[in-house]
Amino acid sequence: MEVSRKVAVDMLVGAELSLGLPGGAVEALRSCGKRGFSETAEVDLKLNFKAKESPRVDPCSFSKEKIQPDPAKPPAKAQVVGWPPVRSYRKNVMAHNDKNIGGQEEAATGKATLNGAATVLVKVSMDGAPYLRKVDLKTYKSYEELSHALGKMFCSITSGNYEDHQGMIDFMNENKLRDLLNSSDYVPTYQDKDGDWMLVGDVPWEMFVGSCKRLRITGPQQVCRNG
Amino acid sequence: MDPKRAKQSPDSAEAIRLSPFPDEALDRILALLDSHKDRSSASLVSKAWYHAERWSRSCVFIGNCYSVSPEILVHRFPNIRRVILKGKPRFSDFNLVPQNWGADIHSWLLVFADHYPFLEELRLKRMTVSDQSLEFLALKFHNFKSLSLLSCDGFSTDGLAAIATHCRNLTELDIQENGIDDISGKWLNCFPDNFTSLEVLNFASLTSEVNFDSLERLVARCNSLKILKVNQSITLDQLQRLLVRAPRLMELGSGSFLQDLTPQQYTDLETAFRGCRNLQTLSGLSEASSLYLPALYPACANLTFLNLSYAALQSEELAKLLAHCPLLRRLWVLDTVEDKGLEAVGQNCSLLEELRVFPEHPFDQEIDHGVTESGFLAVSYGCRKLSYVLYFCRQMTNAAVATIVQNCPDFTHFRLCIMNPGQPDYLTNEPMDEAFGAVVKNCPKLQRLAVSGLLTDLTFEYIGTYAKNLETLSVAFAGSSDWGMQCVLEGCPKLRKLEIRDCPFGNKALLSGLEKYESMRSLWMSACKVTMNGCKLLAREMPRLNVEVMEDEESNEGQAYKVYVYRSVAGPRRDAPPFVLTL
Repeated sequence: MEVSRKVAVDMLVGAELSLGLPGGAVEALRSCGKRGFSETAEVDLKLNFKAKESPRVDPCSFSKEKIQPDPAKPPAKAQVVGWPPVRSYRKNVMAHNDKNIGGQEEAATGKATLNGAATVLVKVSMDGAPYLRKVDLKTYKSYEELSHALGKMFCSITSGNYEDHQGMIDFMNENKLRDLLNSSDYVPTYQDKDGDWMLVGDVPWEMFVGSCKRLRITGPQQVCRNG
Repeated sequence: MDPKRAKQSPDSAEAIRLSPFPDEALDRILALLDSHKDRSSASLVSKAWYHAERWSRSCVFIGNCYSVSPEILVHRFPNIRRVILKGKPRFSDFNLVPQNWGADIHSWLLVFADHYPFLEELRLKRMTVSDQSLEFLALKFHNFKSLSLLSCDGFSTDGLAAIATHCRNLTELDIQENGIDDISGKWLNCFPDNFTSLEVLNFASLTSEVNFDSLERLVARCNSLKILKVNQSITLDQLQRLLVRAPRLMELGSGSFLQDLTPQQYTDLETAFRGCRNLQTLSGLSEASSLYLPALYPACANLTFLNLSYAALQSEELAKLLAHCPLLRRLWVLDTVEDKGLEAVGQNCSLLEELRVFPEHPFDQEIDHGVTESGFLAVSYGCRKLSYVLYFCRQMTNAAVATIVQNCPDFTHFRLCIMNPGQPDYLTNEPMDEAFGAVVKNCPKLQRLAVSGLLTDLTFEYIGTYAKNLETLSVAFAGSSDWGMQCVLEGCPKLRKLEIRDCPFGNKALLSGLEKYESMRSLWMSACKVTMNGCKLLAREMPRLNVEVMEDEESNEGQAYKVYVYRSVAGPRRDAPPFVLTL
């Protein structure tokens, strides 16, 4: 499935006037707030701004066509009132669901199952560290575990190799690193699917795993700049 | 409180001569009859039986509310406790009937208040129900127990509040797919604290958020609750709490099934489902995340009906779920499951009797997704007991349908909707006549048929020749001439409901059914070639039919654009709006 571009749904619905549903174009809106999706659904966005609206077909003329059914000439592809025979209630519910969330998983992103078959690999950068790491968020069950793991990770990178690197913090000590991570000086942030940089720890762990694209442990200066 | 009927009437004397057993025995025996058809038959045997039957009847089913009046009803049946009423023509579900057409329950309630003060149950379909009517119902009928509203309109959640507040003995509140003004969820709070009798609660189709504490307390104190269908505002962990309170549920509608759960919450949910050993029906699951579907696997062992028609599941998700549902008899899905999902149905559900596949995007003609003839074929190979199908698709072939009905000859309901009007067999480019010919030839038990695709009169010749048990026929964008409709009217002895739209059938066809319509419930014809003169002639010849024409801005000069013909003992409608002309 293609990755969808995010467009304001209201605008889209407004543009696609049709007799029935705003057919075709669905939108995957990541809902903000605590009760959101842990996996954002991605759906084909058919941005078809050609007016789907057509004047209501005069079924009388339509049925006249049917007198000599000519298979070579299919009837006009216009929207006809009350066809297909789907109850209004169902129409409204499906339209409503389309607007909110795609409701479908995208298997391709690998966030499909609880069995842990999928991995969630994200890059982790730390300010002052010379190169990045990658972690599989699925292997951790909580923020604490992640923090612990990160501490270990950056300890081993930096130990003993970069004494002459300017501005480098002393990562030699794992405990010190963890304190740093937990202190207000160093702020763990992550980039989510929308591209926004968020503070780690606000949302339930599962949701974080689902939306985190990249981790960055920022120093105090960087945080201010991002402010 | 039942008034005794007079035993001194001359009919009694005759009855004693003709039937060797006393009236009391007759009463007892007839009281055991449940089926409406049986009761109708019994009432025709003799005057004595007629009277015995009418006094002993407690439930009445009226398929067309205008076929009889409330006055006639209460006069014939003095002891009714349960009433089932259907109102508008079925095509009103698809916006073909204007607002304010009628079928208002209020005039019935007024008469019931005087004659059926002990009314217990009201089940309405396609009726107009106002808040005022609901309040009247709640206040006037102290024994009222059971309310079911399906595809109705005209009321709001305020009306539900009145029911909840005043119906002390309520056992059932079943609100389904109505055109309701959903103001707030506060109605749920109106059940009194000492109210404990609820057995059925279905508010799945309402959108307003309800107060969860109220709901939880209600569920906790109603120990007989068997059916609970909540709406989308109920979260997964809330659902878990409800399940813990009501493990004996037989039918569950889950709401949205969407939430981020901690592992502990997930485990709790799974445990709660494991505790639901009696679950036979499961529905809801809209926006279900495949992450959490496995939580309900433990509850699926006894499922006979799974309604996923609002859950946009993919094929793999469906397959995994079905593997846990060995006893499934009825399955409703969205076409998001695609042919692959239907293959899984064929592989897993050998006991399946009913399949409904609804379209996710019915109005999008560009779309390539959905189901095709392959999916239907796959189901037919695996589910030989299939007897009811409703199938929305974008392509079909004659050959596929022929094979399907060979695999499954037990069809009683065959409703195929090829969504593009007048579309031929996509492989051969021929009309779909042979498909439906195969259906009626191979399925002698067929009661209900809906046809679609490119169809000539030949389809209707087949129907008239073979479909001898057909009761309901729905036709759209089909046929070549009057002959088609004539074949059906002349050939199908059990026909009760015929609904036709956008077909080239005119006066000749309409009038060929003169003798027939009195044995039918109703005929609907819209956007056909019938004229006002034809309708007037029909009305003149058949005074016991109501011939109604609806004015419409689409109609041409002299054309009868929307025609609704039905038999009635109540005479012409007295409440017809200006746009309904009774001829």
